[in-house]
Amino acid sequence: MSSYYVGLVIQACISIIAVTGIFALTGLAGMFSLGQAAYMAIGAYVTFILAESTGLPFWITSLGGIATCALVAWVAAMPTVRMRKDYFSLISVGLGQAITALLITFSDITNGSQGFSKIPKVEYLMPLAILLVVLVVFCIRNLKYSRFGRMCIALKTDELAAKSFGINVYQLKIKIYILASIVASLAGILYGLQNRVLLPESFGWTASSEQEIFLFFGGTNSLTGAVFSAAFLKCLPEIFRNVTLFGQSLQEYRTIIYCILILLIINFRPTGLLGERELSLSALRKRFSRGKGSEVKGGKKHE
Amino acid sequence: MSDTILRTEHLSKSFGGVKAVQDFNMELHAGEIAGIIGPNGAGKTTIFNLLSHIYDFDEGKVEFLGRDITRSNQVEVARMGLSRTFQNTRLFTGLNVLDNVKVGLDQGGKYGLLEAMFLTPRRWREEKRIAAEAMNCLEVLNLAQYKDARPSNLPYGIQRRVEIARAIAAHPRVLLLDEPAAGLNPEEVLALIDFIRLIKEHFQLSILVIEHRMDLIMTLCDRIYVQDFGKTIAVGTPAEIQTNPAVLAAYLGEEEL
Amino acid sequence: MSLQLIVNGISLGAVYALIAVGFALVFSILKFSNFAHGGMISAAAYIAYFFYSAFENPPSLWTTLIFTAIVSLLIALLLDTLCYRRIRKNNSPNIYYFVASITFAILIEQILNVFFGKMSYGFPPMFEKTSMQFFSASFSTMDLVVLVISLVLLAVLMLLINKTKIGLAIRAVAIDGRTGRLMGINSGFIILLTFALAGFLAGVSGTLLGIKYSVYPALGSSMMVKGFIASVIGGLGSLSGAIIAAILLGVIEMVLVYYLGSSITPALLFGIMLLFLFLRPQGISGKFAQDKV
Repeated sequence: MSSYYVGLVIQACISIIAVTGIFALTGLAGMFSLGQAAYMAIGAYVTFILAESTGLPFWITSLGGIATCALVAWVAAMPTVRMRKDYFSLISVGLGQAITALLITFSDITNGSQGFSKIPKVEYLMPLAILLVVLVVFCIRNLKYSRFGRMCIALKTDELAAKSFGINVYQLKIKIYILASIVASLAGILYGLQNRVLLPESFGWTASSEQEIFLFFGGTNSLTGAVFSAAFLKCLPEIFRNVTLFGQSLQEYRTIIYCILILLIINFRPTGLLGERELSLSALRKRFSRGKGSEVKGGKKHE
Repeated sequence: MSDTILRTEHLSKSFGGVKAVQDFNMELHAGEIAGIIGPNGAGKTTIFNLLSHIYDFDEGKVEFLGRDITRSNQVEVARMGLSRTFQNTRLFTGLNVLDNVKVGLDQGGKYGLLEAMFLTPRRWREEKRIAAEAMNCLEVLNLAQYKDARPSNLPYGIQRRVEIARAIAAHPRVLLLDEPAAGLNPEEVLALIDFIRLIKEHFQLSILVIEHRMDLIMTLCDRIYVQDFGKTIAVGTPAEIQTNPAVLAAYLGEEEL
Repeated sequence: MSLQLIVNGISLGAVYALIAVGFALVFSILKFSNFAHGGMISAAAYIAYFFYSAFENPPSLWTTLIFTAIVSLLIALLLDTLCYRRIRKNNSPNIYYFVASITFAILIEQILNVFFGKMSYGFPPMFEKTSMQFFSASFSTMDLVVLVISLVLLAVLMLLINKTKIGLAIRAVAIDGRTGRLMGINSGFIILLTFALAGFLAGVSGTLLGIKYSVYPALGSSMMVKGFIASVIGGLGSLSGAIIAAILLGVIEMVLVYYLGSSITPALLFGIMLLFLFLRPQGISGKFAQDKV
């Protein structure tokens, strides 16, 4: 496989992991966040700065990155998830800005807007990325079909009714938020490994909203839809690399095309492309009850 | 009495200047069905919202299973076994009927988030138990045939019964029914009366019910509280209430019983 | 020095107030956060810049302001027709408004990015005297002009909302759209009117911000966040709360920038907002929209 396609596959993997995290947060628990890219940044920066300063391999320091993410998410979640959904979303926009500001301010560590580029090169990035995708999709899928998934969907539809069944809505939201942020940090670390440079501006609210857009495109209630649209929309612009319009490569119009697509979807097919359908659900279930080893196959199908 | 399950003392709540509930005193005994009736705006639903701690009350005291729950919150009260339905059914539209009932049990599920994601044996065991209990609940209530349906696709009467099934799945001690017969036709009301008796026996519940439909209240209840403008104007057995002059003046007269 | 700092802060806060009010207006009527407001501000800044520089003899500030405000009023109506009308008709959940408005904001930002590049445009100086002296402190003329325009506009708007029949109708729909309809208020018209007002405000704030800073695609979205913070602190949907919060925010920001530098300030503001909401989740105005039981 040429390095171009390898790069494309890895990009798709990163996108799938990020959007799967968003699926848990928005699709299951109904929390609309525009700050999840900030957790990608935290995960990536902490991991690679630790690797650089301690000399440890990145897969050890990534634990530090993930832990920092979880901690920041916990602190940010405590006051915010209690609030109305609007407040929560607005505040998440601020989170992205705050993280970007911090990254630029502490430029002696992060190298500010110049970008942090002391990132180790990894030989087998594609297998690693695919492995992570399978793992994350597997976990979030199981989450959806567990008591937590049901409780999440319950609180998304009707928080008050959910509480009257003894569901501690507040704690559950915090848990899901932290989980989603950990998933985001995985995507962030992978992003760092692929791009080999981290720029503060690439983790602002537009990056976060791109992920939300991908989720809504596939359908907020369908994990399959989320995975599919994350990969598809990420790769779509690559197809148009050599097509030009008004003297510019069509790739430049990528986001514009996304935006028009999503406006069409929201207006004409509000449940998203897949609605609530999941990929060969019963078949997967049967396979699960026989043995867990076959999940790899199921995961590959998502690619 | 020693078998009092739920007791309120001097319960009061006002919204702005409106006294929605004033000095409400009530006792609910084990295995009893008590009713609250009264015209619109008499503060009936507010009493439910106070009992289930959706609203904080201004004054008063609530005891549940011998414990003072005045300062507890909605979640704690629900976990202690005080369950309820809502006036407009509030089923979870994103879940099918079986999953709705499972949600009633999920809070008591004994596996963690990580176990859920990595499919530990305990997760399988617990999911099996939850599914079996939910299914059992549906079967007892003759709702098993609807288990895969979405609530929004079901007739209103069935939705109400699903909501009750969800409320009792976790075997609460007390069930609060908020106008269970609203929007049902006379035949469905008769079916509902049998249904409520069935769940009371089968799940050993005490039930507190708000209703406008006199036929339902008079047939089911052991004791009735009559509310008017936030105040209790009469308490007694159905026979006593039917002949109470204050009640006739305030309420029954309008209903043309 | 400190007086100057505070006046500058109020001037900045007044522009934030324009943003926050435009945002709070739509929120109070439709109960969703109109992210598209940021995109409209960016668009307005570009419109103002190109209008201003299209003529041999640059038009006056007033002409530019009014032209831009009217054009962005039209954009706001277009936004409502293209993005929101069908969602309203479908009775879709609130989150769809959210996504639609964010998408629209990004769409505008990207169109500006692609067609006008990422470089920023600066307005030529508009006043002969760039600064004025009061009480032995010197103030930038632009800041004072911005302050006066914003305050006058806010005052007119508050009069419109609080003292006129149209304002009464807007408030009625804000409290309860369905009852409003029963009382004979054409809520469809009120919604259009609200968007028109919000668009007008976006036009003015976009022009002023473009002159004050410079014109670049992300201008709106970065300023919008401040407007959001202000309206959240003020209590979502409360106009007077939003104005007070916005001016406070402007002053705090100026002080922070002066003493700690501009790069760390957004993070500190975010922290302040978190702390404030932790202590007083219902906002300054104390109105807290709660779900009905």
